[in-house]
Amino acid sequence: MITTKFISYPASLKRLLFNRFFIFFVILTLVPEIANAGLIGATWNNAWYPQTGYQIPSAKLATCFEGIDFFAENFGPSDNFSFFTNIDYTDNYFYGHTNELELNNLYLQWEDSARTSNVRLGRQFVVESPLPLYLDGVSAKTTLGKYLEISALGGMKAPPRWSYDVITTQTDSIQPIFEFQIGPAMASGTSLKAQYCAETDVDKNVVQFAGATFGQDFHNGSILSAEFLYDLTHSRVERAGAYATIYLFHALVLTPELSADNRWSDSLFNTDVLLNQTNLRAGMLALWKYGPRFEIGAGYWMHDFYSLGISNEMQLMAFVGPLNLDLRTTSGYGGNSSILTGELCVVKKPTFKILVDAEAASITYSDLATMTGLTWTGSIATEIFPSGFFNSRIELQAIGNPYEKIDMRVLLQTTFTISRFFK
Amino acid sequence: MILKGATLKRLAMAFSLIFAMLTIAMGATQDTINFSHKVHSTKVEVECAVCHKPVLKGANIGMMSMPIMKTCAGECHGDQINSKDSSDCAICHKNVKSAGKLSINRTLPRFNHGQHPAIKTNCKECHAGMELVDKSTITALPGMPACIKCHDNRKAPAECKTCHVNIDELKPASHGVRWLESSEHGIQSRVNMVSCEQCHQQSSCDQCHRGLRSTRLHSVNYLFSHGVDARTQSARCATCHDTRRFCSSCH
Repeated sequence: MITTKFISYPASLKRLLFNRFFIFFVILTLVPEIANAGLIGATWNNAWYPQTGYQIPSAKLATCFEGIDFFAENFGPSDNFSFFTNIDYTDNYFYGHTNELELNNLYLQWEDSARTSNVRLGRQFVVESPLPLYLDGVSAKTTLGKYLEISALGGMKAPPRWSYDVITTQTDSIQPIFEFQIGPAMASGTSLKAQYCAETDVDKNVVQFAGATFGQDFHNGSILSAEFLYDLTHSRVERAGAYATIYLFHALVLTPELSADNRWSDSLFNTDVLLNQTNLRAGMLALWKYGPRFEIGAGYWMHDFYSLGISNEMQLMAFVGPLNLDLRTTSGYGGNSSILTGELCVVKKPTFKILVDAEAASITYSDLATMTGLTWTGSIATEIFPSGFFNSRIELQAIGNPYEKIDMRVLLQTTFTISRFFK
Repeated sequence: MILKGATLKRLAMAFSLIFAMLTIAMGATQDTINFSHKVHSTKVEVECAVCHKPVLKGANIGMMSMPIMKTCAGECHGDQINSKDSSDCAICHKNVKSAGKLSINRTLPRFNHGQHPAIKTNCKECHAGMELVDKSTITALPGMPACIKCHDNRKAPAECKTCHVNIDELKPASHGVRWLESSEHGIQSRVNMVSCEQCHQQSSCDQCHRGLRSTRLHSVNYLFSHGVDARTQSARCATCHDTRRFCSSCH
């Protein structure tokens, strides 16, 4: 089990720490090499809402999220180095995790001039991993010749809370991981990668995986993808799936999928009952497209939750210009729900948008009578982009459900982006 | 509701006006020019800059960079331009009756020859083969491979918006209304990340996978209704949420 030891700083100290990062970035830009970077930029993303009531002693303007991106691309002797970071310093009052900074990304990247190879060092989200993860370590990728792609990574999984103070105090949750992938790259229209991974689970056991991914692009835009990952240690399928996007007569798009996943069994809800079971999902969506602004479709999915029960999901959807309508019903294991959603996005100018959405739903949990009933939501938002450097969003949200009755909130979001190409 | 005579009359006039405007708009023909780059380049040996003079002065691409009728006058077509004979006009204008201003019926990328001094005077570097074709079509214009020789974020910016005016037009067909929600974009990123990286950076993934997305993916009421999905589609939850951390925050 993970024994988590969290440290909460006083707000003033947190501010100081944030300032420390800010000062760090400012100093970075003064380093001659980095100051000469091709592109330097920072994005500050912030959203607040007035909050009062549950667990909040007095009304305050709470932060929904707050973070900063900083990047300096193409510096160094041959412009081969880049630096990226993303810090989340949200005050999460609801969870009681106030005054913590979280490092989502902080890595140095080297890339060759032909952009066929790169190496990243630091905390990074590795999307291409068979086990997509936040990694503290090194990842490298190269394309040999024109078509052969090789990638590898090594290091530790980022701690669950990702807070930089947790790194030093939560030593018992260190989970080393190693991965290797090899295969033809997609440049040839076909991709086939063989994969090997070894990770340490929360109980310090080494778990090994072997797998493969396959992708095929067709001339008419159709795509076929498949993946298979086998847990060699527990002799079970970790994840498997086949997905396709099939274009017929330019207008009809079929997207069948069949997937199985066992990753959940490593989670909080892990019990012996769930081990060696598979979460299956099978179904297909048929979409009829007429031009870029009209889509109508229907889909059906079957979910088999670790063989404990089956849930059926049906969906009808229509996308007509700015209006998006969606009706989804779920029945079976897990509860019943019928959700009708409507969204409208009106673009008044390229710099100004209005978004309206509403939802009505009926939720039934067989084992939770208090959480059963009708729910509704509504929201109206405007997004303003007066320049490429700044955009803001104001949103009024209202919800009603049997648990929270009626709740209203206003969300104010601002994003500042400063970027400059220097070469 | 009963419409009175005067109102009916106004309505009839309005409809007639709209009908007339639509008829004119639909019936209007665009001017088309008979022009051969091949003839002018190889037989007459006219330099590009003679006709595309605004390019050297730093005009944006589009009609501003195209020659006007005055450009064709002078030694070459002066007599025809000053002639009253429609057969002289027909040498260049395919439809003499509708002769007028030319237009370009497509959204062009943002490009200014004046801001690209290195290639300004060497037309053939980007427009190779133009002297061999009659009509200038999109196939005779340089494609992105020519641009990214320099626009690689090292010598020049490589952001999409540097050149593309309407980024929405660049969306692949696969990125429909269900693209983000479906499992497909996940497997695509694992299978063919090179394709994703043509437009997206790491921060694009972070926006959803780290909850930094400016617009929400779930319903506002999802905190209440998520139990149905959590029980049956838990693997899908785990694609964005670190379940060790996320679920335990409340449960």
